[in-house]
Amino acid sequence: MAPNSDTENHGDESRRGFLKLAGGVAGASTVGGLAGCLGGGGDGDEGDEDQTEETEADGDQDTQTDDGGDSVSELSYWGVGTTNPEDWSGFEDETGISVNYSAAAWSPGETVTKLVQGTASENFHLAGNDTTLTSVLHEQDVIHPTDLQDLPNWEHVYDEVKNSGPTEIEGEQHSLSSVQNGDSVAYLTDEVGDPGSIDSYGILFDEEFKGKTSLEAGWATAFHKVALYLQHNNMADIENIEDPTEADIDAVVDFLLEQKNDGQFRTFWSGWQTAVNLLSKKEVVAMDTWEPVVFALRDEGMNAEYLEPKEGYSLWAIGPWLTNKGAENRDAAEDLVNWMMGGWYNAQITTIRGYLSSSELGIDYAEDSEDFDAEFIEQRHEEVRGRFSDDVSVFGNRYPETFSYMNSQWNRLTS
Amino acid sequence: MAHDNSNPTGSGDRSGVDFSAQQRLPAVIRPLVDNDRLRFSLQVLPWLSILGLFVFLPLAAIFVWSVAIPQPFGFELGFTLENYQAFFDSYRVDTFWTTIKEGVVQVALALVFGFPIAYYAGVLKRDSKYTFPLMLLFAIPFLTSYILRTLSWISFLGSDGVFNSILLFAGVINEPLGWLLYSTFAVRLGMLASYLPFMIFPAWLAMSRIDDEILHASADLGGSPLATIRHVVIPLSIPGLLIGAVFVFVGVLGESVVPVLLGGGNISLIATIIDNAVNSARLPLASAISAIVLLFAVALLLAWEYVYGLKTVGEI
Repeated sequence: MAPNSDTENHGDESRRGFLKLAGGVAGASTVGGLAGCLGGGGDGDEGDEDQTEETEADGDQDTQTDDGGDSVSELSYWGVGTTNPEDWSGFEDETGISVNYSAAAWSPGETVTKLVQGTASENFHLAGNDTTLTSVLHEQDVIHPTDLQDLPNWEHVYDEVKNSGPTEIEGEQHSLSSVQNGDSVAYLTDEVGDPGSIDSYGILFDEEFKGKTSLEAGWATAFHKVALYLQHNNMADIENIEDPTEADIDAVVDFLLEQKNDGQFRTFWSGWQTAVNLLSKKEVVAMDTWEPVVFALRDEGMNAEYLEPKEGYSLWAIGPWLTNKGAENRDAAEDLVNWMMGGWYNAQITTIRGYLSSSELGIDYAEDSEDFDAEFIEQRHEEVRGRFSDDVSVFGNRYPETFSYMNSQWNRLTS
Repeated sequence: MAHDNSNPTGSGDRSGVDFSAQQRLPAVIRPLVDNDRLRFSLQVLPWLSILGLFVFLPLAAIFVWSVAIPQPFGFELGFTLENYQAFFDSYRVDTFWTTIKEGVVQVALALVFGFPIAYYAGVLKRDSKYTFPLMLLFAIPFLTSYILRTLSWISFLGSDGVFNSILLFAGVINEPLGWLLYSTFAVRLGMLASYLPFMIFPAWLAMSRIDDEILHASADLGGSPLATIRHVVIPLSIPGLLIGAVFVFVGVLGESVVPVLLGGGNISLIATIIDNAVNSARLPLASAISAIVLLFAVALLLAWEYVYGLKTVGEI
């Protein structure tokens, strides 16, 4: 057993079996039950009337669906803020269905707990989070596949996006990624150096910047970046970065603990504002973080760059799943999923966050609109698509078999 | 055997106790009221009910969950010491002792900074009409968000923060002091700012109740101000200081905001470990750690009772 490991015995039983054992004991009423407090929207009245394509946009009448379950006047979407376009009126204008959005944390453990043990799958029509959770959520029967024939925009989705994560299970498409990126490190060129001379995660561990670098407090992308660095530079024997073993985790965490104890890191950051402030106040000069932080720094007039690491990017994708409740209102829920692969949503997401949306429809939409910069969107799409198609970047599983061990060891690092 | 407090002789000798109200009660109820033990039970029932519902029930749940069998998506009720073992066999024990140490440090710091303020307000300026309003100013921070209040320290302690800027401007230092922020110092400062009022208020109340005549007597007997503080003020304000110390210490046991925001991963307290366990869907582990912290706090109180007696607290 690894040093300082927690005593865990998951045995050979399937996760499904464990759920039955757990039986929704008190956990459902504690951590999981909180999901119910997040405020899913109302179902609207249910009815058995024949269904039509669209209804009045005033929203009072229930939308009629074809054969996709009950009608609904409002859809509740519980998703990571990254997927929130901050204006859902376009969907309501098209369908007459309003969207009640509730923010979710990009936290694998919390998300799985609320969906599996809690009531999130019953409270929300759609849940949007890391696509690598698809497999475990499918095993627990809390998400449902989508019918691609009902999603006209699917054919426009980039192949890199379609094939990027484990979203297809047993031939059925479950998660439909709407936002994705390859993460690396943000750094200040005035302090660290010219972009042409910097191409490695090694700047985070460079003695020259001792006490002036930082890692994210969560492991979701930070772990994979460090694992890539160690593996690529033959500094540790990493067996599997995407689904790390306990030994892999130990190798990464032990390395980082050594760095931490040597005073390499200024802090472990969490939260958007903290990330921006750390760099803008020059508390740190290089930091593992999200790419939009660089855009924010540039807006402040700072010379900041996002690392193009020779070791590869830490890829991620976030997209909506149909929950149990969504399956009951399948047509309406799939309409929203389709809309999230459509032109306006694509253009909006890339514009406000700089991330890759799912298809070229966003570029097409922007070219016909005065509200968007089509050139910027196209450039960003090309950049990020390149990260998804290179042969070094990794798409790490955020709910590996060693999930609990990972949490425990990462907490040991950041505590 | 219940003591019957009724007056069987009916002689009217009430021995200073007025039974008239009881005697006017319906005959059916009178035995309930006349029985001391039963009456006492009825009197404490509401109090015990509230205590049980809001205090002991959640605590019982914590202890039950602490021995539950962990599962990937929660736990199964049962009995295992695995969760306690996960605490004792890991880095979490060190964090626990760090928390205890920081609790003691905070109590000491709160005494050093809080005692003079309480003494000034409760003894030297006890008659001033400005004392009470000024003391209330210490409560103002509680009207704001704890997180934002803690975050505001970054503006003062950061590399380009107020303190470093002043020191640089004054020529005291040549480069910013990195240890001001994301350090043990920052965490201690942040917690002191948060918990100082918990020491000041009970100490102030205790000191303000010291009789003027006693203070004057000390002076009349030739006692210097320092001697008066040492031999009069401190002994008589110990109950308030003790309550303040308990508030501060218990606060540190549950502190999870300041170390995360100002410690930068360089120092961690046990409440953060509990938070991490909860966020990792490991409720049994979180419960086991909570149970250990709770038992430690109870043990401290029992030790205090053994050495000094808890009655001293009531003398405030």
